[in-house]
Amino acid sequence: MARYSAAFQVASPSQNSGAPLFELQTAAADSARIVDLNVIATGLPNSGLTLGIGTPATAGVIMPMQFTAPANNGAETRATTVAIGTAWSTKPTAPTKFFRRLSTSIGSATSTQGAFLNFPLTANGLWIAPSSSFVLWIVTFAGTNYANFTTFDFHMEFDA
Amino acid sequence: MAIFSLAQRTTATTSGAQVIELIAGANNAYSLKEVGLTIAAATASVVGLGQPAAKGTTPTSVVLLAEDQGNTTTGASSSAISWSTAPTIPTNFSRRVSLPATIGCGIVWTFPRGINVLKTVTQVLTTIIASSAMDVWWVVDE
Repeated sequence: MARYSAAFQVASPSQNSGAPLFELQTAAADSARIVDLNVIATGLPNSGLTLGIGTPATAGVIMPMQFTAPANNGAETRATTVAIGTAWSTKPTAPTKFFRRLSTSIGSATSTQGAFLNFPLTANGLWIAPSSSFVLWIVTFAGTNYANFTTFDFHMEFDA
Repeated sequence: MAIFSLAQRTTATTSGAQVIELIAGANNAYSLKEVGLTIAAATASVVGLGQPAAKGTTPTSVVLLAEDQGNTTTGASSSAISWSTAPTIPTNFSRRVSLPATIGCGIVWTFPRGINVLKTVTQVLTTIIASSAMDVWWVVDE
């Protein structure tokens, strides 16, 4: 396996409860192991967000691959088969259970809050099986000032 | 041994309430590796982690998820936020934290060598003062 990093931004993220922010999908013959996930929201609604990560009940149909994670090792010539998407022709459905969930603070158009989630390799990371999927999910999007929620930055490291 | 985890939103907020319980299986111990929580309302909160004097009865339990999706073994540990009779407050706490009245404040406790909990024994989070509902996650090795 090789180590890949993905850093990307969702502009105009969903402003609804029960919606995906991004989805990672593994190919039929390849698994992935997430070791680090950082999320930072810029501009928060005035009653905050609750986010969760988990396996969707039904995977989405990602629009043609929107992001290809580069390998950390510049000598690595094998491109990852992991698909990362923030737009779908068919969205994934909500996870039944979550590995992690957290609430953000209430905010304003200029407030920023994030979380850094680590899945140590000594514990095998967060393993995504072949032909499987992983989402960052908006569990609740509360309050008003929806227009505050303007951008969402992610950084993820995974082995694939 | 494998890693299992679960995240839940708690509901109890009164002082001295056991808001969530991590329950070992009837035949399996677990090693608690990590506990994370963030508060979901703007209420100053004080939270403690410990072993209850008496565990809850008839919990509405949810089995933890395997973090290795290639592991098809069902976890033995489960988590509960409601019971017919709630667990009782720990005599002593392993950890406690005070959080300000700001939604999103939280803490992540990690236990490199684990808090090892025997089969049928539990760990609880307790609201030491009237506190906010919380998003909580557990990570165990069992």
